[in-house]
Amino acid sequence: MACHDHDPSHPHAHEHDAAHRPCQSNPAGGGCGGQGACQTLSKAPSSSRRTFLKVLIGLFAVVWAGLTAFPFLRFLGSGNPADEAAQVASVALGKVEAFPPGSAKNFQFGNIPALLVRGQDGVFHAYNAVCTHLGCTVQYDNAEKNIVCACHGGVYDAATGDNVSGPPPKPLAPLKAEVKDGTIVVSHA
Amino acid sequence: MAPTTSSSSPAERLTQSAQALGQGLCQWLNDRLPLEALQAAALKKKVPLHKATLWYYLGGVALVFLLVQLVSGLLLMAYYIPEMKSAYTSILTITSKVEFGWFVRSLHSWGANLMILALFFHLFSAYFMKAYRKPRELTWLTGLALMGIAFGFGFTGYLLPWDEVAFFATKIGLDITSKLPLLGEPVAHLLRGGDTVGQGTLSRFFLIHVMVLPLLIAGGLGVHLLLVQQHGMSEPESFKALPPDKKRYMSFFPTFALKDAMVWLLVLNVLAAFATLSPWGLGPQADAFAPAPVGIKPEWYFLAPFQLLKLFPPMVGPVEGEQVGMLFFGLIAALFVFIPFLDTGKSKAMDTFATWYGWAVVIGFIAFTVWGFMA
Repeated sequence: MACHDHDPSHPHAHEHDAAHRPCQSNPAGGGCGGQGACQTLSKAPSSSRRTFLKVLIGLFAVVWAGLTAFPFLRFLGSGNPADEAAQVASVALGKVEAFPPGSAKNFQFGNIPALLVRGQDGVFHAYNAVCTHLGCTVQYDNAEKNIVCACHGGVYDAATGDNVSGPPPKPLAPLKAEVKDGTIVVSHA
Repeated sequence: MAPTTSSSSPAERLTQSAQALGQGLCQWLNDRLPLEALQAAALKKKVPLHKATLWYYLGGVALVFLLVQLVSGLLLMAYYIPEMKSAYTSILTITSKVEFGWFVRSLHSWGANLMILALFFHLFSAYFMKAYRKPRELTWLTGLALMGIAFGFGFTGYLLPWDEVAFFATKIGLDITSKLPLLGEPVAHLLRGGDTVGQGTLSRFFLIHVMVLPLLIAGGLGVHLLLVQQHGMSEPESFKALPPDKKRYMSFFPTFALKDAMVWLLVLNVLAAFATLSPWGLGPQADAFAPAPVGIKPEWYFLAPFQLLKLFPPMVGPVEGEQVGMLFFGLIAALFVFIPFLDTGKSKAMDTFATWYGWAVVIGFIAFTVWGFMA
């Protein structure tokens, strides 16, 4: 440990632990520098009371740091308040006649992209249009009569939402599509 | 330390391994970085002990507040939206919906005010201790520049909530700027982003507040602190005149550093107390076409010039009263800038003048601030 001036305002400054010895010449490193700087770390304090106090203060410091960090971590982890505000119970999409069999529509359901499909059999299906692979928005492929994802070629069955081909690991999450007074209404499944 | 024997406990062996690892890492770094030189220099640092020693803590206190501003500001940026129609609601969202949002925002608002207060104390303590004398003239000048940057932070940040008071305070501040001779109008136009305070102003103030000024203050503070390291702590004349054996010092490491840390802890607690017990409010949303609210006043650190300007008549001869007022403030500030070259320590008359001048400014500032509050 390099030498340091003793603190005249503390007359008992020399009552340190054994680590703070006066400089000794070190043939290997030379003087107080060299190996000395790093060797401080290997010298243990000689007083157990000192150790106890150091550990106690260390623990307090850790607890204090945790308590201080807590509000800021909660602040950042708070999530987007706009998302909560945008949640909806149901969305009305228009008259049934506007959706002939074999047609589809991408629409906004609260803050998630959604897809409405009317099968050839005339039955309406609605899904959360977020591809279960990596999150792109899927669409209805009129030619193939199924739901596809443009990003990596995932394919879903239009009637059930099952993942039938490509990388998607899971089916599309379903929504409830029903006809009320001639209007197609989509709500949570 | 217990000798390492085969019967040492697992705890002891773990501690020894950790110590060996730490030592190895230290040695690795030591072989590549000037750690010893830095350590040797650091341990030589000492702080003079005398009646005015307490004032040495103020620079560090201002630094703590700056760090709080940087962190809280960064956090606020996660939710703040610098767009005219969204800014106000984003602040409302922060204070009412985001967890601890009210706390982070209040830390930032209170922190700004306490930082400027700490800077005033730091500036005037350095002034009265005559720390601007050789070799510390550059430290003084960089310090003044940093104070200017701090005011810039206050001015630009104030607009961001886009409430009534913020809007009109900015309008006034920019109009005052535009009245400065020659450069005033172009600078005001640049800051305003046009002829009126609007989205252009908000975007520019935002980028100045979160990018330009932080870069400037980081650079300026770096230079300021390097100079302080270079010259050491300034000693008052009475201390310098003492015989060497009567001069008492405390070591910077660990004594002053630990006391500094304690002061910082205290200061952080004071800030947190203010933020919690008196959370910062928000006025009505800005409306450019509504009249300015009755009784509108700037923040306390601009109150003194605000009140003083009221004393000037609208016109002084061919010159606008505002411009004469600005000239007056400019002269006061200029004297602060040039004081290291006027009060060099060689003239007792200058020494006394500098002290009296300092007190005149302090008392004048406090008097006008109080008057501004009560008016």
